[in-house]
Amino acid sequence: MNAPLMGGQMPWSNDLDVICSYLTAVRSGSDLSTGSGKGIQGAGIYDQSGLPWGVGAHCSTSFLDEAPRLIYQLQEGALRAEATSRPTPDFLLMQDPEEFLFCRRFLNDYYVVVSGTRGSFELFQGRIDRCVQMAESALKERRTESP
Amino acid sequence: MTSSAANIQPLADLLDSRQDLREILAKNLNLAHACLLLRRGESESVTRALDLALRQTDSDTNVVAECIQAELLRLAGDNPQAIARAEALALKERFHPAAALYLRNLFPLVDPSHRLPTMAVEADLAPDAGASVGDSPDSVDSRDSMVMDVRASTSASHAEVPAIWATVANASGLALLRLHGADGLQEVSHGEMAIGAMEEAAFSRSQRILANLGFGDLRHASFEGARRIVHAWRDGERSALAVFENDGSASLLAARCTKVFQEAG
Repeated sequence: MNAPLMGGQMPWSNDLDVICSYLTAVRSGSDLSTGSGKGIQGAGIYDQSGLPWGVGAHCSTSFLDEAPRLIYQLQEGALRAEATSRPTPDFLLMQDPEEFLFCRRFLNDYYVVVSGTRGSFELFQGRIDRCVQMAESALKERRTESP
Repeated sequence: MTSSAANIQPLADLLDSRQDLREILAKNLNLAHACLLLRRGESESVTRALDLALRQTDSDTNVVAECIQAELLRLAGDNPQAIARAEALALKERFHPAAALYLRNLFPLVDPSHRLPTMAVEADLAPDAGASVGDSPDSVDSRDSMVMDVRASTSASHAEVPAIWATVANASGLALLRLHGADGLQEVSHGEMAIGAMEEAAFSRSQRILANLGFGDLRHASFEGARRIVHAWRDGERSALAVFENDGSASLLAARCTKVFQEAG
């Protein structure tokens, strides 16, 4: 179950940090901590209170600052949708000319937040979907295991 | 950010909502007492209970105590300071549940135009940004534990400064002079800079160190950066803050300011 994420194989892990690191691994640049590289700059899995359950390696500081706020914006959007009798949005994507910020709700109570340079979102959308899939499975497994 | 204040959960409830946070309170009964008093709205007693709680200090206690201090500000109606304090704490203790939860809880109060403290510091550090005291390592450190109400100071008329300060205020090496006293706030600024509550930051940390050493009340503090120097003086309710360019005239200007500050008292 806990096989390392290998290139060329269908990745799998139930460790949420490793799952997020699968995303942050796709990044180039010399100084990883400043978020100066290209590609994915941060990935994390959060609960509805904004507490991190998994954080990718070498996430930029600005990502860690922004992630809980992005979740809050998606939650606010959901409240507004509810107030106007519209369906609840399940993801939020913000893009400026340089960066993207993506937040997706899954299993009702959890959020995956990803940020990166513009263009990376389209490039790594499949990888993000795969991470959400792994996180869903891992969290379901934890629920099953808990008394 | 359109939510009303009704969405804000009291800190006492927040701390009570999670097992790990309840355990922190269980380890420090004075902290638990402070929370109880906070729930009852007895703010003055909360401060006394917090002082006692901090004698049995550990990292968890410090984080919860800081949350309580921010909550006291919020309850007093000072939302910007409460948010700034919660943000400073979350920057320092990013993965502590109390710090993260409390800041998250305050999001509905955050103005959409609010700048994150990290962003403010990063902007100040940009090579082509306007020079400011935010460039000094001291101010970067201070964001860890101090409330940094970063705001842009705009030019003020020299006429607002008492005549005794005029010579210093007109000196070419002076970047900012800010006076607090019986007449309120008076300020002279050459250009625009983000410095915020530097007096508090400069004094409160140094004050604690001196108090621990038994040196008595702090009256003067200065922090020297490669490009600028900040001096702060305090005497009772009176205080002054001056930022100088770090050139040959800085020490002379500082000495003049010290003399004027004493004479003005």
